[in-house]
Amino acid sequence: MGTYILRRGLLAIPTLLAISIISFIIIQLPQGDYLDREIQRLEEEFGDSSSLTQVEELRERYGLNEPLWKRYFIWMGGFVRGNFGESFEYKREVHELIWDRIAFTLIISIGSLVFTYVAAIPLGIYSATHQYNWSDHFLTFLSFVGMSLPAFLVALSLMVFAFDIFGIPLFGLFSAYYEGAPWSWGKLGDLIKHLWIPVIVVGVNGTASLMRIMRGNLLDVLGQPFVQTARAKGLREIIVVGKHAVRIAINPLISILGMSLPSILSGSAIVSIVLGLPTVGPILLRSLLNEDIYLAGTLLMMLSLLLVIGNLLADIALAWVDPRIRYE
Amino acid sequence: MKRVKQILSMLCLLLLTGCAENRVEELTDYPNGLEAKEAPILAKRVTEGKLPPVEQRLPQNPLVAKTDFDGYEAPGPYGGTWHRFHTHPELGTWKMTAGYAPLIRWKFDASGLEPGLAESWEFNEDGSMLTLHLRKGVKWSDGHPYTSESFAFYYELCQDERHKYGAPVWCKVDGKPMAVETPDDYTLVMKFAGPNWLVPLWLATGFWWCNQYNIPKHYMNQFHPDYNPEYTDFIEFERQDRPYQNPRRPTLWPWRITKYEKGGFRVQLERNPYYYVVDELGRQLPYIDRVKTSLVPEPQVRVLKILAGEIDCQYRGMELRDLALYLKGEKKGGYQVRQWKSTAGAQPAILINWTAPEPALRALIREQRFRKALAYGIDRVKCNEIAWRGLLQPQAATVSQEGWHFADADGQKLFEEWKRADADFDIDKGNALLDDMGLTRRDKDGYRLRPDGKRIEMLMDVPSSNLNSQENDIGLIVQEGWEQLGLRTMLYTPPGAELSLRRTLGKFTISMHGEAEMDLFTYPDWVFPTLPKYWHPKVGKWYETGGEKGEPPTGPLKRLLDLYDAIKREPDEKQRHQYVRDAVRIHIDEGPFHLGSAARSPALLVVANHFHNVPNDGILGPWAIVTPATSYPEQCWIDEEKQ
Amino acid sequence: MNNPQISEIDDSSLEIGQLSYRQLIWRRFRKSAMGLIASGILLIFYIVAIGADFFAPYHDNDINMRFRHVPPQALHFSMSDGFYVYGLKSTRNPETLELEFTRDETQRHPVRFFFKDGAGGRRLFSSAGPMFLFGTDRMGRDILSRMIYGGRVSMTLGLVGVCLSIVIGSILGTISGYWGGWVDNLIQRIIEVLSAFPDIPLWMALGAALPPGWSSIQIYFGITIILSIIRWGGLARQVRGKVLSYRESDFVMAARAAGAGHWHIITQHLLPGCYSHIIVIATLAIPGMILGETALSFLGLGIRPPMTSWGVLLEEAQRVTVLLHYPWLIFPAVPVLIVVIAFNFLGDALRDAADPYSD
Repeated sequence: MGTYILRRGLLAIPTLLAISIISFIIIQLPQGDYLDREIQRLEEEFGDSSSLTQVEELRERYGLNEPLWKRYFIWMGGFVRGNFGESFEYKREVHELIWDRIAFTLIISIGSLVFTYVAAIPLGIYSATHQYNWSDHFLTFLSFVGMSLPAFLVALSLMVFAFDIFGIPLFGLFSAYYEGAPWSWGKLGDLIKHLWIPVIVVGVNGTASLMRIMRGNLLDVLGQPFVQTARAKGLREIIVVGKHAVRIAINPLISILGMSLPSILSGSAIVSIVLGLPTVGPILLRSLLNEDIYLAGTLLMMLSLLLVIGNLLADIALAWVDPRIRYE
Repeated sequence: MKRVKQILSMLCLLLLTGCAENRVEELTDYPNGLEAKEAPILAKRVTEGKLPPVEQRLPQNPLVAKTDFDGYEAPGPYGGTWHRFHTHPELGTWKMTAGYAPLIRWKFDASGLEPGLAESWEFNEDGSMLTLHLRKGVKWSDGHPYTSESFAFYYELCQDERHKYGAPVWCKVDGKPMAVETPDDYTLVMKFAGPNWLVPLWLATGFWWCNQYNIPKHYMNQFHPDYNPEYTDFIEFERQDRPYQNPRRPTLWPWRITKYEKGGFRVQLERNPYYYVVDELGRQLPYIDRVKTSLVPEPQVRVLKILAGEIDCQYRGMELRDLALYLKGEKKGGYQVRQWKSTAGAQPAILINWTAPEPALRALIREQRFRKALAYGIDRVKCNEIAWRGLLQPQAATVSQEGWHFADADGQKLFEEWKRADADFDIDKGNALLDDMGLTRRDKDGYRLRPDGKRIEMLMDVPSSNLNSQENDIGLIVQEGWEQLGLRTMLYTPPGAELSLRRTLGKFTISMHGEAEMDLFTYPDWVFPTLPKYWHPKVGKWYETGGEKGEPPTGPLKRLLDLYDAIKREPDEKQRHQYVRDAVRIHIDEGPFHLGSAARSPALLVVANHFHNVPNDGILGPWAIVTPATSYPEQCWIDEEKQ
Repeated sequence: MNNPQISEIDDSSLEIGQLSYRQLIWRRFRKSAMGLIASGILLIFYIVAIGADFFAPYHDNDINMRFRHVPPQALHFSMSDGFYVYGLKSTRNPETLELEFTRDETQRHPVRFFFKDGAGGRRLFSSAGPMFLFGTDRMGRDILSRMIYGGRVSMTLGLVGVCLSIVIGSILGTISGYWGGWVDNLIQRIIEVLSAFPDIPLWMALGAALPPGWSSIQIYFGITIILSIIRWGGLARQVRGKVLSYRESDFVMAARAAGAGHWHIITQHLLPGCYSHIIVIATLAIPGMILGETALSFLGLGIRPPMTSWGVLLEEAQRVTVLLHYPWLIFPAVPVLIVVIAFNFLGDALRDAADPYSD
């Protein structure tokens, strides 16, 4: 098992390197650089960019006159030592900006993941055991609706109507009172109170598709001879399904765990932008649009790292459940 | 299991006590009425011996905040927290509100200058020497005296090759930089190579200049390579020299930063105990103890924050499109929407590049009849109705009508004429002008041909930002009108930064830019082609570089630049205004050089019902005059019982 | 060992098998009511969208200065006038300064069928007076027409994008599975890198890199390519798996023994085995594309006006003001919902049918 994990871990390194190169190139594809954009922003927002002085000097200081490959090596060289460079826009070291956001991203993503599995598995079982029943059709339909709604629309509508009808302001992760306050139980409660909208909005899509998969798997398993044997032995249906079939049907969901991470992270990015949550999504979008290269690059790398780790964990879990994989 | 419970409850207790510390201190022992000369939280610190008494903290002759505006209610009690948001980590909107501590200030109505950190100032006979007399006893927020050494230190930095500050544009006359002398702590002398009458305006203009020249030498020395051998460059120096970000750097602002969290997502400020401004009764300002401001880049979240009543007072950051929503939400949100003036003269102006890269188009653009025809091809009423819901005024492109150059009746008359110049939508007139120019040949699609036989095709740069969808709407309307003139017009959205590159390098043919300018002496470039911007990028480049780069001015542009040179040499303020009017006359008679759409939008601000002393009317426009800081927002107070 | 006869026989036998296979699929698919309904709905949507110039009452960018933010109008019927809508009266609310519309019952604007519009085209139905069955947007453009024109862009974008990823995915998947070795390894690594990117940030990055100076059509294809870049990886993996399992199968061995070339084996033996699989995956991928386009537009990185897509329409609805005051601007979410659901049902039915030997 140890060697398997090690081998998988080592394999991830070239992947991450390739990702870093691609992200760095992608970030710098657009014309101009951060300072050009900053001038433009100031002019669009305030009609004047005089507050930004010494553009050429700044450009030199940020190393924006260096060729692309050199900038990459400077950044990557720092990156592996934990120095991610400085964000142009925030005028701060990147590492000061990201950890909180990554933590909140993880909270929302893991929350959504848990929500997804907790909601999807029972619904999938129910749907499969009531195949072609009206309730199965209803759930199927519902899951398709869940898969079809654009997340940003759901998020904004929920937020607006929650505010308009119930008068609850639900944007952000904390209410004004707790924002910036030290951690306390009250703050934790406040966080949970704010967390459900993003968690549900992000999770709803995954729940729907996972439920479909669970239903399909279980139906497959239920059709297999050993289930029939169990039934023939006179075991009660609930035991046949609960004890034998579900166990086997759940196995493939573990590998899906790794695959559903990207969509959960993306979903949380979009929802965070709409709801103004302090996660990675909003600053990533801004930094990409502003060509804040070191910040954007680091965030892309971190997200990819999360995905690679997630996949790794899923693989390990799978190998643990199904030992054959280890020797493949 | 029991142990776990114990630990948990202890943790709980710890956290709760941590929370309690965050509560506001009990201050009932200290007076907080009109008789109190300072805030109770400061009075408490004085009795605890942590702070000198208020008389020693204030200058001998403190600056008295002006109250002569509509909306000023009364002197207020001390205390409270002002909640607001900012839209960018550099706190631009906050600096416009309370980051303005200049030597000389703009008056709130932008009709001229008034004393700031300097009590008075005077020029010598020929305008080559400016003497400023600083207020005695002004202190930085850490209690260190503010003296003329601050400016001298700044100017030293400007001349230091290693430091990235260049010398400011206004300190040079005929290419020669000024000399700064400090005969004593409270006298500052600037000597120029020739007359430089506009310097007081420059000292008052924009929050960026005063935040540069007010530099706390006693603090910044620690990071200066000449004073501290630990440093060999200015990188740490610059990092420390960010007043909006560094809580340790002493400041002259009414509130000093106490917490700047993670890239400015949450910023907390607290009253500056040494602030040099007092109210009419001689009580130290500001009234409000604390400011909490958070970064909200998402416009829709801003809208909801305001509707939810989470904002006490907010200048800027609201869109006119949401006006109806804000008005309807007033009662529920417990706030009031006020409409100040943006003073915009074109939202946006359609820029016609005088030095368009394509020679045939350039020749056409230099022809007045062609530009007039383009002006007649814009349906400004439609621009106003569609893009601005009819809330603005259709007019030709101008600078700000409220600018001090046009203050008297004659000035207003001239301005009205400028607003109406070629501002009708009249396709027939436009077509007649084009026919008159001899552009009668058309291709099979009905488009007019240039003299060289090619179709007239113009690319119009439209900003891509979502926030500016008004500009996209107006682009479509302009295109529609010009196509009716037989001129092929294509909308083009340059990628990100390329828009501004095309603008400054003069690579565009037609472009767009919002227009507003209150003071043409310091920011002349909408009317006079002095900088590589707007409708004259290459001529502006020529003027900026002293003729080294760009293209020399011809015809009316030459005369405009001559007028601006005359302004810089003119001692009499009235005559300087007259030169601006002469220039506007050239724009009316020989223009248009850039075209209008709709203008004069209201600028929204939101004031909670418990928030007092906010002017009912004012200008929230161009940056140069730094509003609302000129209205002394440190006089605002909060009725904490109603909050 | 080049024996043409054998390969001929081989071919024809395969043909027969394939035909009956298709018939089997069809037979099974016909039994799924939901699948049939879904394909019917999709057919109608595609016809309307592609014939937008005929089916939409107005052009998508017809601006009506006086009719901004008109709420949906009710359609009435009377024997004398046929279908008609009432006229509109507008007043400016003195407090909020917004235009507000009330019904003017003295005016009736009949709906005309096969209406000849200003540009000389014919429209299925339209009206000379203002007729906005789904209301108008901030520029007074008819939402119904914009939805129809927007559908043309969004729905074809999904199809084109999926075709692109099928082409890339099946070519690379086949190569990978058929040749194996280092080629396989390389392709697998590329797919791995791509799938390790969270897709929205990748779209953001690529979308931000699209030159906005591009014409609408260029952007349209640019976005299609961006969307399909993400999708081909999964497809390629599945195709590879299938090819791997077929590679060692008897009929491929036989063909190889008969001296058939690589090209022949791939196109005649391997790919047909994957067809049904590919079609199912493709059908299920289209909704992702359509939703992806809306997400890109929401981020301001998608299709740009004056081109209209569902994403553009929903992006315009992304304002608190709109949700509270002009809720009819969210109507474009309805066709998105219907089409995406229909594709999912269709894909489901196809998947069930693609496995005709089970059950």
